[in-house]
Amino acid sequence: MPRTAATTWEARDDRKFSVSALLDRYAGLALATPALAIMVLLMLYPLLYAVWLSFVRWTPSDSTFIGLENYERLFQDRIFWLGLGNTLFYTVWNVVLGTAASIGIALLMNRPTFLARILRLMVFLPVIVSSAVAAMAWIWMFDTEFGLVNQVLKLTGLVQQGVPWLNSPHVTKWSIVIVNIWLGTGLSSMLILAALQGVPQDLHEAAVIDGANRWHRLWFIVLPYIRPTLLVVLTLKLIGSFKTFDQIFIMTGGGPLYSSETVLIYLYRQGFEYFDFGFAGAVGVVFFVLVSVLSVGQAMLLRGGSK
Amino acid sequence: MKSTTKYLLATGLALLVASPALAQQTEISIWTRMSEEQNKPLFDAFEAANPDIDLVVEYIPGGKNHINKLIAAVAAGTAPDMTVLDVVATEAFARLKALKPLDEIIAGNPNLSLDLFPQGPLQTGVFAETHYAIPFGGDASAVAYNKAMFREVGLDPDNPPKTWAEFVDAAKKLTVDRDGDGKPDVYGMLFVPSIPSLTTFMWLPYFWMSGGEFNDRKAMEFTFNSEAGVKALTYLMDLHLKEGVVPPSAIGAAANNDNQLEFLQGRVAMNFDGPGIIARAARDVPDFELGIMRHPTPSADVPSVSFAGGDNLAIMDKIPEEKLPAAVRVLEWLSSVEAQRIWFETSARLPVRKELLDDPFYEERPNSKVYLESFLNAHEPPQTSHYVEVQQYLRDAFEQVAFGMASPQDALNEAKTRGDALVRRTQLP
Amino acid sequence: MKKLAPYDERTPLGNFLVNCLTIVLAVVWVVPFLWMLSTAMKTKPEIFTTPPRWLPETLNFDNFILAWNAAPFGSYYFNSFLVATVTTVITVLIASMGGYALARLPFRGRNVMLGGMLSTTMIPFQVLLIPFFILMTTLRLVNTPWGLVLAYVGIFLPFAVFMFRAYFMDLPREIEESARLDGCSWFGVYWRIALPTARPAIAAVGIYTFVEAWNEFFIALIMTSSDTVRTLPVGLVMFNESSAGISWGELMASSITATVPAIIVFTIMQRQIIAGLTGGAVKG
Repeated sequence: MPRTAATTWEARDDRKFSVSALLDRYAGLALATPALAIMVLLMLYPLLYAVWLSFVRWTPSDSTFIGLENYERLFQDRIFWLGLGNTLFYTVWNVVLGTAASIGIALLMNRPTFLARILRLMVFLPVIVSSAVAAMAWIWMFDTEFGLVNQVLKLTGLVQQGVPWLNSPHVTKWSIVIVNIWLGTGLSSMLILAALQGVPQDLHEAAVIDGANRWHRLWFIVLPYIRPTLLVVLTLKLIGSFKTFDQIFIMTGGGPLYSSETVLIYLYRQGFEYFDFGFAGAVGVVFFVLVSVLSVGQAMLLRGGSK
Repeated sequence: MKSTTKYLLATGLALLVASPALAQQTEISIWTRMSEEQNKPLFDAFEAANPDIDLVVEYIPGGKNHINKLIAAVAAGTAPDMTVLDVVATEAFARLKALKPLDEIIAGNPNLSLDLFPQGPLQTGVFAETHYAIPFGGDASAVAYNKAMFREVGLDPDNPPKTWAEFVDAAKKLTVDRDGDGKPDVYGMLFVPSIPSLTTFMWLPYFWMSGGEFNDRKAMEFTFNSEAGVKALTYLMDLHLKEGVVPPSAIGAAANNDNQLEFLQGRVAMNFDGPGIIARAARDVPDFELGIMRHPTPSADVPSVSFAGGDNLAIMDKIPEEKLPAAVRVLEWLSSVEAQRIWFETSARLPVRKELLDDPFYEERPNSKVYLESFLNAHEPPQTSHYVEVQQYLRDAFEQVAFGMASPQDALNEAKTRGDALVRRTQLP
Repeated sequence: MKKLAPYDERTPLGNFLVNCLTIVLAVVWVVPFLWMLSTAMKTKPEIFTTPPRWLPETLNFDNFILAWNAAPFGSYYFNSFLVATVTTVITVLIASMGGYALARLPFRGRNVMLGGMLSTTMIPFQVLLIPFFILMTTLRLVNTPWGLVLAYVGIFLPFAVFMFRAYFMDLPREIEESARLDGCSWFGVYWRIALPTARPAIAAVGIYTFVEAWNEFFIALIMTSSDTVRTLPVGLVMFNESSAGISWGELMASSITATVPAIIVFTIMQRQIIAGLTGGAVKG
């Protein structure tokens, strides 16, 4: 048999049963084991435990099996559905507005000017800041009386009275979206920028020769070309939206009137304020199923279209 | 001998002599509900008076943080030796078997005799006829008001409103449109319906004064949706909904709004508050003319009632046997007259020793005296295992009414339904 | 940076408009930071003025000092640093090993592991938080730095493994091949050849992990209950809740001090970070 790279790769030692030979033969497994062990211990085991918890009424002293009772109570809880609705609301807007903003900003960043470099730095700064710090800065920015946002709005005459950014069931949702976009655009726009810079010149030139203007080029050539990156961005934003917790917890705690409540805030309250671990386990399982379905669904939908 | 050897020997001898004293220092860990700033003077004094006990204090301020962390610690087996406990939390922790019963300890100890403490606070440490905690510091609620603003609109600053009707009237007078733009610039009253613990704390006195009972433990149900509940809720909410004397930004404000600041900056004339406002006003706005009034009553013949809150002291169940004497010493000292005096002079708490209740300290400070009177005439806090959850249900009810999404009766009914469901599920009142 | 291609050039007016838009967006994005800085240097009365003042009367650093003394920020800093560093070292080590194995070494269950890792990136860890908390409780690791490190390693590992795998897959095999022919063990190849060459990936993963661990809030909130273990983000929020009334000046000052290390690290290493992140993600 010709010595292909594969066989050179694998066969090393004739002393098949020495320790070093064994270690070598199973090197792959050996190197991968620590990572594998951690993931099983910290992801798989808790996941299974969460499933078990969801069928149980947990108290510090004992746990009694109660079947689907937790799930029944969950699906009958009006606040859960509110939280779910809000979560979907944030997801839709984060994904739509966030991706559009990222594309737009990436296009602006994709120029050799000094200003474009400044923009890159500014937009990326929120990524390295703790979401806890960002949340507190934005609470202050959104202050009804003295917050910068309202002061500017009042000065420019756009509003008469301070907008209740964090105090109104109607407005608060949008405040969260704003903060999410501020925090999240940095990474996505960087990814898209990198992809944009990878578009070959000749494609552009050919399109120009064919008479395409800037917008045609963008829509019909560039965007389809960077499709894989766009998919990554969409997925990042989708999952990221579901995982949003810190900002909401610190800025509004889910209020007012549960208008900024998400499934995760609900989960936190049930688990770490009411200590109803069994019920919280059920919430977690439902949430996990939801995220998985959405991610897989999105992946299939988008990949299906690429044929 | 060489000098170094002499030196070493001397040091060794000295250590030998000193070691019994050193060895006897017992370490006691204790968790408290207040910030370091507020607690330090007292604990420093303790260390000075008790050199043989090393008190390791963990400060856990911020509303429900302390209870949450303590429950988690009890569950994890990492609970401290002792803890300060919110007066409403005794039942919850006693049920968890997290607290050491104190009856035996109290029985033989003249320093912890039960008749040293006023009845009300003492009762809050009792569950199932057993004492699990002794009083540590009292807290009461009242209404703080801005005397200067009273004078401005022609109200007598030394004669604050006594009934609900008088109160509404005063609040309306105090809501003033100063710059003529059609919107008030200062408001009469600050009331925040969005923070579970705070809102319940504010509403309860009005509920009790209307004749309400929080729950019926035997029947395992909550009774706060009675006529009294609706009456109290309506009164408070109408301040905002009908009379417009509450700043709109207070509605829906979660914990991030600084209510005291609004009051201290003269943007509202009156505010529900505890004794802490006195120290803060003195510190932040020294020329502020602060007045404190008891809660106004529904009618002249109803006595004013306040919420008797505050802290108790408890020893945790899992404390190692050898540390128990030291822990008892901590109890004795912190509840002694001298400590209580330091306590109420440096913090916003009210004393829980009978001897101190007519201390001259209060004669010199009329504002603090009002709080003391409120404390002595307070209704005991609600007794339930589910205080954390029920506060949330009540807060939801308040917010619904505040945003006009439900009537007070419907909102309270829903809160009661949720509370009762919880009671049924856990089989605990 | 390359020059603008002829077909991308705009009319002067077009240029002007685009530049304006760029400036506006840059300003909008950076304003919260500037406002934080401005607030941190104001005195109390200056903070609550209408209209808002940008420049305080004097550059006042009192807030920074007050804040530092008001809460055990030294302890918070130390804990954040300790946890972030240990997490980064462990993560880089384990992830590079796993990534290398996945990239180069066929072993039984490799595809299962790959698929498993992919799906773990989809699980929001908050779902696992309660069982995780119970697990840590049983192991007596709650409220210890080690418990927190373990949690963080668990969260950052899948992403890190992916990054390393992508990087290693791109490495030309010749050097490794010749090392193998020379009789080098797999571990030796990994340790002496692959890892040193993987510096960009190590930088990217390391810095990303460090910054994320430094900034993480939720898990630290659950897992720490005493000041001796608390990390910066949680300490900041506790500080916010503790004093009677929020002291915005002090809060903003301490927030800035908390963010400085991350900003420094980022500024020094920005090229590596971005290259690492964008390269790995697009290929992965």
